[in-house]
Amino acid sequence: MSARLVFANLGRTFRGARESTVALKGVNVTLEPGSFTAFVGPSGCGKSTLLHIAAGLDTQFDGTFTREPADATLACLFQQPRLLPWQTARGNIAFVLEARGLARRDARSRADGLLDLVGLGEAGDRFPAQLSGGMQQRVSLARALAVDPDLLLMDEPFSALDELTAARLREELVALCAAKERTILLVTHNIHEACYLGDRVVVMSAHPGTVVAEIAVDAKRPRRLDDPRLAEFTGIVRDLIDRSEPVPQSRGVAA
Amino acid sequence: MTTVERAAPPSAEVALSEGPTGSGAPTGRGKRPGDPLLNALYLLASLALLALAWQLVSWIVGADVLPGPYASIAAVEKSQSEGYLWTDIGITAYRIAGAFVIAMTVSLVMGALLGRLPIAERLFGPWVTIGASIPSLVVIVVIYLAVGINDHAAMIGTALIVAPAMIYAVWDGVRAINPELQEMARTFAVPKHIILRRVILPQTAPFIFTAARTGLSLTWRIMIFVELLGRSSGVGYRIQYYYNLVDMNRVVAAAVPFIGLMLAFEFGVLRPIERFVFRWRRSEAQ
Repeated sequence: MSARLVFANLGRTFRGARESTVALKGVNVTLEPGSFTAFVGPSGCGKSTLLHIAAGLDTQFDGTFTREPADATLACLFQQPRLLPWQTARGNIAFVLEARGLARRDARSRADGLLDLVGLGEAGDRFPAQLSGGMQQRVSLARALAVDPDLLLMDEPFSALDELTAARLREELVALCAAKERTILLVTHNIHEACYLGDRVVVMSAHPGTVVAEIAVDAKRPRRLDDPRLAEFTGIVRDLIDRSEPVPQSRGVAA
Repeated sequence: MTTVERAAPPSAEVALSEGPTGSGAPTGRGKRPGDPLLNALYLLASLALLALAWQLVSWIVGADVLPGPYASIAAVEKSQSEGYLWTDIGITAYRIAGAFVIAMTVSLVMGALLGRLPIAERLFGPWVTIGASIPSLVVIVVIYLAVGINDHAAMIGTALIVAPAMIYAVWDGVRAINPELQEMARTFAVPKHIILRRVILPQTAPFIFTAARTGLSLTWRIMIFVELLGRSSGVGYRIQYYYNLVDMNRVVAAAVPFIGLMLAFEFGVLRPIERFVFRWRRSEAQ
């Protein structure tokens, strides 16, 4: 069963010794079960903070955040693969399965199946340091899929990769996620990526991080990278972001 | 022993900036796998050169001050035939083991506390620096007087002298823990005790190894001194005894077997374990 997320009047302030930074303010967004929502915006718009809250890593927020069901299975794909360097590719995937109580042997054979799925069937015995960045991120994707998540959170998962690898991984992601209905939350600064992957794009602006617009991307799937409808959406989103950005010269004059 | 004033712990960014494969593990010493036969040859050459240098110094200062390698080994044989060699080594090894266990326990607990709790770091961090600068002699004498002149005092005294250096190593390790990996584990709902065992401990393992290695060699050198001051058995006592008799052959002969034992432990036990545990680190080039 995929999860439903509700952010209601969500705010997050980081209090420093000298000054406080308002990372999020008055965010109202609902992620329906089975939807793919992409949050896009400039750096500092609080989109990563939002993801941290959704992941349960950050609980110091104002307003309310609810995840239904509360025990929904969660998986995260980060910008860096965050693999345990002392574990092999197989061991890294088995790690999250064993932590869920799966027997070591079962976990490892499941891990092998997942490695096959992401095209790394031969790499099970290799340590992360022996894998390229793209391969590491694939292992990380396999690890996320291993727990069969109801909710998949992705924080700029492809931004550390070269564009060719990133494009291929995006396609694989779409194919792999189509197998089961799950709620997906993607955070990215790549407008094209947001439109290509998301059913819906939530545009955010910075200082403080708020939602500027929500756009349903109704280009049909499977999507093609050169779909003119996608280019249209990309244009709309870019426009919205440009308009919400303060003009650089005026900074510091107002207020 | 050098004492270094510790600054505030480095922020998480240090660990984060290591890139995709860094993940907080220290790079450590560069290990070249190389050809085992060639490595063995180099080791032999190194030992032969050392023996040569030893003999040379012995000639310069005189064999009555520093006996050469041949004379020393002959004296080792003599001490064995007289029957005290192995009892000396046994009793000293026992004391070293005791002191080492105490020092390791103290440094693991202290290092973890100092690295994890800012309040502990502020209150007790300076203690480690101060502890490292107290002269060993003062510690030994005070412990002998407080506990009594016995083996327990020897162990405790040695442990206290050795602990600060080991605490520093563990402390560094705890600070080097990469919070990103813990975050990852938490999002996957990995239970806390498994995070500790499978995410946190492996990251600190290289530092604990460093602590153990420096701690052990330091323990051995301090223990000899502690024995000399207050025990009537063991390698340290034997050295003092023959020093009083100005029998330098026997002084050197008392130390040589134990040096051999420490080396055997290093190369036969520590290094192979280290190679196995940290095999993931050597894999970059493949």
